[in-house]
Amino acid sequence: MAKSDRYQNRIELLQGTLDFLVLQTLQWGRQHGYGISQVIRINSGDVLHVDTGSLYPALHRLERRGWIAAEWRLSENNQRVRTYGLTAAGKKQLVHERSRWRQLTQAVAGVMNPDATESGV
Amino acid sequence: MTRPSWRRRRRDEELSEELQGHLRMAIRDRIARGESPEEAADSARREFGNVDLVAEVTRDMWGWRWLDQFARDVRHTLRTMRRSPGYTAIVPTTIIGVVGDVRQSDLVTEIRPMAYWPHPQLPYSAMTLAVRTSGERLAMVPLVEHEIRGLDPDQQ
Repeated sequence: MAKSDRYQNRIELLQGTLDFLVLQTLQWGRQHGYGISQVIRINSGDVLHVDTGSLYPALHRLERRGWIAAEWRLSENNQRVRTYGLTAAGKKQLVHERSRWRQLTQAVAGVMNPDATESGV
Repeated sequence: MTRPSWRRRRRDEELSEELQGHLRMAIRDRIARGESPEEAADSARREFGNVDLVAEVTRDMWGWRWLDQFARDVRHTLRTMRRSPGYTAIVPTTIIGVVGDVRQSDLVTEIRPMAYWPHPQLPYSAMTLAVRTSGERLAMVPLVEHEIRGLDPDQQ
């Protein structure tokens, strides 16, 4: 049962949130798709599991928008892996996404707790 | 029938290599965590999902990239044309459709990106209209002429 409980604790990512998480993950350096999904899973305390059917379209979409750039590199096992790194435009976009995320969390907090927002104004 | 271009085939291969690499790394990590190779392969595959489907939804992201590149090319062309004497009146146009792999004159000329735009934005003095009929061909002529005049009364 523990397994299904854990599964239920996973949260479906909002549209756009995955793009933000990918950019955020890449700020620490170049990473391949598998690495990105592992970092997001581990840093979220095993709550966020990125589906490969969402991850790879997101990576290729972000690449298309010029926010990340792909490069084939050799892994420690001497195998070719496609890695992604933030571009200058991607770094700018990350700053923008961060402030958008703050706005969203503040807005959600406001909706959940209207009194606090009123007294805060 | 046009075959996918060499570039496109190469991208397909690279995508499949990228996804197989993901699977390989996932299996290796699971083995390192103590799973048996069979168990690791099974659960990594289950977690990954259908590889073909993942490849397909990823490929969907490419179409627009080509269009982005194309839009840049068009902007570049328009800028170049604006700078050339004789084309000073040309302004950016609305593109209503972009197609790949059109063979215009023969089968050997390299395929180039094609665009269609509204006729009033870039009128040509002549147009080719292909009509397929199963009956008497000449009998179609007045009918076709009638239809064309219906669209544009100024047609000669």
